[in-house]
Amino acid sequence: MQTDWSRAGDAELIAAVKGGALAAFTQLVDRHQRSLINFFYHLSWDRAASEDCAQEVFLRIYSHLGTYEPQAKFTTFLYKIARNLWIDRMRSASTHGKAVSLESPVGFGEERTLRDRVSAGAPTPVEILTRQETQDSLKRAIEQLPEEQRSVLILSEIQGLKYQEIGAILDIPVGTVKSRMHTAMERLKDMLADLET
Amino acid sequence: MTLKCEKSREITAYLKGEVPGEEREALRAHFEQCSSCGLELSRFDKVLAALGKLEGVDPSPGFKWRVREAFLRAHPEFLEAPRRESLSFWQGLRQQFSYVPAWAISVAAHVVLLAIAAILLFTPKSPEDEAEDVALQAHPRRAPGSAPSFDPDGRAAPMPPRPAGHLAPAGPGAEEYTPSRPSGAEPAIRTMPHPLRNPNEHKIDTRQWRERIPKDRRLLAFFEARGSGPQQRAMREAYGAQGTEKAVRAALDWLARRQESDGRWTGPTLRSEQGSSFSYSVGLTGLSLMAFLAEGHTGRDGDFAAVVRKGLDFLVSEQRVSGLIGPDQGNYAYNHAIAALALLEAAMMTRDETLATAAAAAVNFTVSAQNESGGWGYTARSADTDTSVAGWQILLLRLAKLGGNQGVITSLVQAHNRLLLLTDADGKVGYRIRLQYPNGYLALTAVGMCSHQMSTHTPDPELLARQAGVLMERSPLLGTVPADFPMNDLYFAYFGTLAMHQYGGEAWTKWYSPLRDKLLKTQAADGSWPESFDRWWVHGGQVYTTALSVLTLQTPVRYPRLAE
Repeated sequence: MQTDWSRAGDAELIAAVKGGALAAFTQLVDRHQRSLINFFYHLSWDRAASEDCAQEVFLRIYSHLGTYEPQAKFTTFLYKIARNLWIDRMRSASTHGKAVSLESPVGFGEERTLRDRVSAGAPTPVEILTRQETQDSLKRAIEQLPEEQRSVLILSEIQGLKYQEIGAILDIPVGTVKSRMHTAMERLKDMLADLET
Repeated sequence: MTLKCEKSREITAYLKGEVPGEEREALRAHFEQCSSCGLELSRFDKVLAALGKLEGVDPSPGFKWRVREAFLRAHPEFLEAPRRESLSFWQGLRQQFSYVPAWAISVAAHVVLLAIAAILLFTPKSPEDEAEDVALQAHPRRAPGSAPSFDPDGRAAPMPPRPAGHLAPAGPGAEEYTPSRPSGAEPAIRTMPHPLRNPNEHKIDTRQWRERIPKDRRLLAFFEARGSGPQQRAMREAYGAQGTEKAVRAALDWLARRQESDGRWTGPTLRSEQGSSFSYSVGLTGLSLMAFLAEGHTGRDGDFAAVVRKGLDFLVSEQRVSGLIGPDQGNYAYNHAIAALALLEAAMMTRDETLATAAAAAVNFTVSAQNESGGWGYTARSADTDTSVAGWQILLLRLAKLGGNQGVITSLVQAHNRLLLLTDADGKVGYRIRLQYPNGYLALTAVGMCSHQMSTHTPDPELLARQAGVLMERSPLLGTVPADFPMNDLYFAYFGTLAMHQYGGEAWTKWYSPLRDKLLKTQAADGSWPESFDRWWVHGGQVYTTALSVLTLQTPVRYPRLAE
């Protein structure tokens, strides 16, 4: 007989994975694959790379099970691994010739700013954001953010996590989460506000 | 530039609901009065609204499966059944959660599928196997002294020794496979060797396949010499098939008489779920033709020239633009692969351009029909991997490779990897998943063993020894009188004989000799085998029982031993 793992909680699934239940692992993947892929997607805007990272995270879960505390939220554990993987990838990209700094925008040169994307006389920011092409613009605006702000923004806005959990994931105080989030929002707002002038 | 209000730093937290009750009320009151904050709040709100419209992505199809496969490559210990220490936890969970028995799902699926179009060689579910399935899901081990003991004559059959030339494992018991373990001992987790054990190795290594090309070309000569007197005689003598010539000839005569005017062989008329009538003509024609081809009857000359030519023409006429042979309705994968095998064998024997083209297209279809897990289901790219269906496809691809088609190599490697995931520590091969044996593990393991041999140049000798041991647990043919015919399983006999022939050694003799004798004994005077000779006869009728019986007898002359 096979267990219907779909109704088990994350902690129970983790315990079952420790006990050798492959189906429990598969259920964890099934349950968290979309949010995890999108976490990486909103950091990289590269779907294939996002799936690659997400797969790596799922594989790392098992080797990190020793550090998992059942009373803690699984998503905290999951995104902690995910964030660390992302940092690893960033550093790896940096040491392999790509000049990437954790504190600087990633992926676009100076000549490709949000302002460049939207010509003078364009519709108001609100109208822009309602159109399909603004997806690209917004992506680029997010990419202008330093990584530490981007992670907070994505964990909060895309993943819908509370500040407290984000703090646990990033190992920073809630106050720092709050200030990083606000700074990120300020920057996004300013980028959009610049378009109005 | 205007000076910002100090409270504006709270706007994001406020909008995100991260400010607790009283403080929140105070902020709200402030924002209503402070024009600077009010404007900022409006702007922040728009940014949040825009962020809320950011599009995400859905996982690509099969992502979960790919992760699972990668996980198994990194942690092959999960190929085993759950470890002992977790049993109490599992039992606890069983009290808390509802269960869906794997066999119950399988039963339901099979009932539906069979009602639609019970595949020619598909084995429907039988109640007596359900208990076995449940038991095997729990991964039991045979206790000492309780090893299934059956040989065709009802006596205990020892496990076959490893054939000479194979690498013998070190340690006690190296000479023989012993399925049992000491009483009371904790079951040791035995991990099957896995070619992709290194989780960082994602590339498919096809070097060994390419290195074997010269040898494959030599093996190809076997097909060109098929049917030649000296080769046939030598192989029959070498492999214990002497004395079967007359029986084979009688069976071919019978099959020739049963051919329809348009070249096909057909079976019982079945009724699909939609109410339409059908039979498995394409698959039955393929099986029948292979019996003629094995004796060198290619349709060019000889006693059965017209029979074979018409049969091959029928199959070619049934091929679709996609390369699929037969209708693309229902569960067509068996029909296609069996017919493709017949066309390919004929093409390799004759080098006929039409046949070669048709066979190549059919092989391409099989490659394209493989799903992303490396398996095959009843229909093209079906996610419901089926070991039985895959067995025919793998055989087809291996022969295609022998014939020089290098385009199948990757497909074979993937099929091999998939097969290992389905194989348990005893060597038994699951149906759709590991440890799942809806109709018992014998026929599936026979298919799996053959597939293992055909899908790699370096089959694991220890695994093959285990599988040979499993196959020897029980004869595929238990019944020699009509009342016992339902116990016979020609599908098991067919694949088991293919596999054991490749395995060779003493095990081959122990397997084939009694099987040969029983087939000779039960053949009717007109050359056929009884319609109800086999448990699945209702799907293929007497053409099925006769064709599979004679093909089993012919195994020693059908294919070369690839390891030699």
